[in-house]
Amino acid sequence: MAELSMNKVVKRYGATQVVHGVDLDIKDGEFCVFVGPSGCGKSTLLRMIAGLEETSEGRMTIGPKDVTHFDPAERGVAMVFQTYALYPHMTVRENMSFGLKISGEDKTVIKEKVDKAGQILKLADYMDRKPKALSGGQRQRVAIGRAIVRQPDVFLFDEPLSNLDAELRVEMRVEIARLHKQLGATMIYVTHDQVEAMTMADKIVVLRAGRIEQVGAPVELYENPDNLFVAGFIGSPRMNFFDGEVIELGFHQVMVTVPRLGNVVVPVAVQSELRLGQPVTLGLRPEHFDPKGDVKVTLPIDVHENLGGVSYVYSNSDEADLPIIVELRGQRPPVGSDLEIGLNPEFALLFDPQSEERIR
Amino acid sequence: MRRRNSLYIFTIPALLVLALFFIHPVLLTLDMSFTSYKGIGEAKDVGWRNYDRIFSRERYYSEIWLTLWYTVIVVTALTILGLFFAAMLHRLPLIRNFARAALYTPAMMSFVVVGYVWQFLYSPLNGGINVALRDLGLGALEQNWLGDPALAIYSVAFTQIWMFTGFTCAIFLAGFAGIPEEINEAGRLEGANSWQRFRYLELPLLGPAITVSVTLTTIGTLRTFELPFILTKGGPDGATRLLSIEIIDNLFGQYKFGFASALSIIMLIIVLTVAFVQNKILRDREDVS
Repeated sequence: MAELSMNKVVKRYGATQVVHGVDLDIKDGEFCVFVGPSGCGKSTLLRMIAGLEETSEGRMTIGPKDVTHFDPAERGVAMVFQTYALYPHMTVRENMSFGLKISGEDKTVIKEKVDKAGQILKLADYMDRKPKALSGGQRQRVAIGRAIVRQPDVFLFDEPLSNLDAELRVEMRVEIARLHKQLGATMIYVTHDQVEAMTMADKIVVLRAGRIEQVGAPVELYENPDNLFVAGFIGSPRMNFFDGEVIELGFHQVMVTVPRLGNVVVPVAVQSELRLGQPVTLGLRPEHFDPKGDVKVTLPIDVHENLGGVSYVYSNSDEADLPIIVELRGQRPPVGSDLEIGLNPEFALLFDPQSEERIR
Repeated sequence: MRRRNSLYIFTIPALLVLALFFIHPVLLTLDMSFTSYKGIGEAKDVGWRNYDRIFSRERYYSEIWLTLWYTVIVVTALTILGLFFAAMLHRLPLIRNFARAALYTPAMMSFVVVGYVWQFLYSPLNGGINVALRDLGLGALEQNWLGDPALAIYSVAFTQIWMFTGFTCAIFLAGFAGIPEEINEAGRLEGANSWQRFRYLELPLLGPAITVSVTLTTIGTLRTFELPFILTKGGPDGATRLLSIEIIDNLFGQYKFGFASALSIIMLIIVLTVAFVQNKILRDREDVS
């Protein structure tokens, strides 16, 4: 078990730079999730930690060791691949034993470790099967088992659940979380699925275009995003953004008018100094619309998605690309009618439309 | 039921071509092998006499053994060298395509060109190899490469190996390309060095490529005729007289069409048997691994 630290880590392919000076500390035993859109560099960063990609610049340490230029095998990491990367010609037992066998481990020790891993992962009945005779979930467990038996300092997961069907994904998600608790190991997990990120992580790292946008606990990122990107990326359905303008300044509070919502005036609490007439972007999550809310708005209903417990109303307008999304509970208004609803201004967030940074 | 039977109608064109150009000539040859046909005149029926002659004389047995031995040498060397170069090139992506093309070039050349080039290289006095040895101060190693009965078969085999290593290498490179990169990366993470990854991960997964390569080169080598014909004409003293040379000699040297046909049938049976047995063994192995 060990902590991991990255200091100004850079990755270049020829002249193209894909990771731009990442600084990150992951504590011992932490479950850290890298999340971001496709091509944001999250898998590259993970592969750099694994040593499968050379680090072009910067320093990386695992525990007390500077592993920046170490071979993958010397780093004390184990990785679970998206495609599982099981050895198809070996049985489950041979797959899990391989690493120990070539490192010259004693046979009885290997058997003991592999049996134990098989037990933890409920694979005991499948030890003599080849991977092709296993289901997707079982293969994934074998891949995890192969990582466990080597007792690495850091576990790396590269989108391990994206090849599984929805039901199995939920099951394995719980299983990996359980495993993390049981082993207490440092785990780094790459995903583009923010549900996985929100539910599993101790710490989420949001990446965009090879840069860290924000690092924090899931709830912190959800409730207190640093910028427009994180606010829009974390949360499903996404946060609504409205163009607005400051029309009145108060003590630690400003009044913002929002044309898209019929020029309603929303009071927003802020500490920083704003000026009159300053353009701002106002962010509000779908669940922060509330029939009992203080600020009343009227929205035309274009689409109504009913998920049973909750439902979402989508409201388009000609001026904006994206529809406004409103979460409703218990209400089933007909499509084509107007929705009368309030919003809770205490949850509204302000962003600078130019720099996209949060105005706090 | 009617629908299912009607599917076979679509195989008729292929079956026709096969019957016309493969089965028909084989049957004609079989028919001719029971005659003493000389190319012109009447074909006189001689029953099993041609076969009787083949199996009652030591010389034909030793030619069959020589053909098999030659095949063993060539196929073994082609497989090992092809694997070696493919494993190297697989690890050197920058030069892979260039080197593959370069290695494959000999296989694209005509047997006649290759034969005459190597005949020059092997020639005892001013041949390229002996001159090179002399210039390097290794004159003691000079040989009469094609003239020494103990050496000639290996000299011919070497030429054939030189010619077709690129071919097997290309098959194995295709096999390597079919192994997912993650398998190798997983091996690296588990601490397997390059040799261990080759031995325990890549080699077993190359099973299908090995089957294809060994089967194709075996069939090709058993039937080989051009190189020994050009390089040695079966000499010296019959040291390179493979079954195929014997057939050509009987056919166009002595116009014994009937006897040559009997030899051809024997050769066909050998090729089919070896290919069948080999394929069965290799396929079973693939399944196990």
